[in-house]
Amino acid sequence: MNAGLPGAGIGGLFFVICALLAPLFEFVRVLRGRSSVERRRRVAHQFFLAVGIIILVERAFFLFALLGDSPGQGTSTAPLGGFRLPLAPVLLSLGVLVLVLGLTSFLSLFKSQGRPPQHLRARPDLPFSEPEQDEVFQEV
Amino acid sequence: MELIAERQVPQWAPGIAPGLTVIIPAYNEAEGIADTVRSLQEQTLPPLKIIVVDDCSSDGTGDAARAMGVHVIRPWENTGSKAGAQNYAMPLVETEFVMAVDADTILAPDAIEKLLPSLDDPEVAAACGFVLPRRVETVWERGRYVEYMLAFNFYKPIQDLYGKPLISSGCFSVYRAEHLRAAGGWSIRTMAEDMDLTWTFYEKGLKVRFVTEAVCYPIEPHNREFMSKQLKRWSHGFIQNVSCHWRDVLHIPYLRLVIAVAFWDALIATILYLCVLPLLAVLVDPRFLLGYAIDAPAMLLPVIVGAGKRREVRKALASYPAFYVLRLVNSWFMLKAMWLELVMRKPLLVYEKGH
Repeated sequence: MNAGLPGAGIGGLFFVICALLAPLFEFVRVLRGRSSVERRRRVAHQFFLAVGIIILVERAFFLFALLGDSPGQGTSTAPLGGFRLPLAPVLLSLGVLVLVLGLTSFLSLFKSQGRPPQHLRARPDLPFSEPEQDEVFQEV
Repeated sequence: MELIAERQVPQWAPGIAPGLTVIIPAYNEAEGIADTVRSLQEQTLPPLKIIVVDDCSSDGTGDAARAMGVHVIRPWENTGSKAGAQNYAMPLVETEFVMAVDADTILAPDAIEKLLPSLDDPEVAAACGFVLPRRVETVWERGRYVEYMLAFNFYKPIQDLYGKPLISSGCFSVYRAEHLRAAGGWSIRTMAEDMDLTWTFYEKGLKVRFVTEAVCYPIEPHNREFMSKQLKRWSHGFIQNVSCHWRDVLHIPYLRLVIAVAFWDALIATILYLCVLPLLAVLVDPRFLLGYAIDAPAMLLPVIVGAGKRREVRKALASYPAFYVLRLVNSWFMLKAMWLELVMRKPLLVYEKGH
């Protein structure tokens, strides 16, 4: 199963940033002798996917701007040496992401108290906790 | 009552996974159970034992499975959930590893061979593989195909690099039996037993892996009715798991961030999709409708790259618009689930199959 809404909101941005940072964390693993060729190959694959995503998004907005059809044109599209990304939505998304991650990390500083809601509290009576096979199974 | 005699599992291949039992929970799966069993028997590394839990089917699922020469057990009454059926088979598991495979799921011929080595590390409690819909015809199946291409080519490999795949998918996962028993098996307290178990493993300090090369092919809901049931179960299951686990997962680096972002998107992105964008389009500028597909270029690349590896680029491109239909419907179910679970305190308690 999937969780949340794949592709929507700040989730996509989060994983792009994770992929861009992965080589740094992998470098630390290399130094600690915990890396492998296979892992480095996967890190590189995800890193270049993330780079490709950024380039593709930038080209899409560039195309929108060329067509004069960008919803944010004139106010939020900023040329950065030929590199054109809509700054306002990008910064807004980044800000929200930092806020969510920061709040989560802040909450983790506190020791958690309390219990799950009542309806989620009970664990099932598992048949294998005390297997009495004669009673548990139906002959087929 | 005498326990059914153990059937001899034929040696389909010179190599056989010596410590692996596969559990297949099945309720009215007569049509597809043979394909599932056959795909397991024809593995390059076949399991030692295959147990089909015929969860009081009325369509002859048990007979169909028995005809394939596997071990079939049947509870006295329907267990009420996939988790319940899987737990029912656990006393028969005597091997080091146990695999859960849905009755509508077939595995690629080398799936077990690719997946099992990830459990060489004793601290790895579970491992899951790449999921792709077996049939890609209707708009719902096409939407799911793109969703999986995105998730399993981009999100999940990254989660694995950081050591925290969000879910060990219930349709195809392998577990170290010792850790599975210690965790209490598959819990029936939520509608998403796979997520519950995965997060429970993390809370116990254990590891979970995702293996891209191990591929399985489930049958996904093909129409609105069945897709609705599945989305309802998944959305409620996610919120129930967050309600259940949030205090404990807060102390697990990276996992807490993935869950927080997913939860934020489940709440805010749904409100944006269903309320804010239509309002802005009507009141301000129709071009705000572009917001529904503004992320299309960002998601296209992982989908195309993944599809390219399988020579399915044309299928991916043709299916791409369906993803947006599915996501819009998904957002409705997510918002409704949030409302019912968190505001109205009316949890979903009945497990309904997705097909």
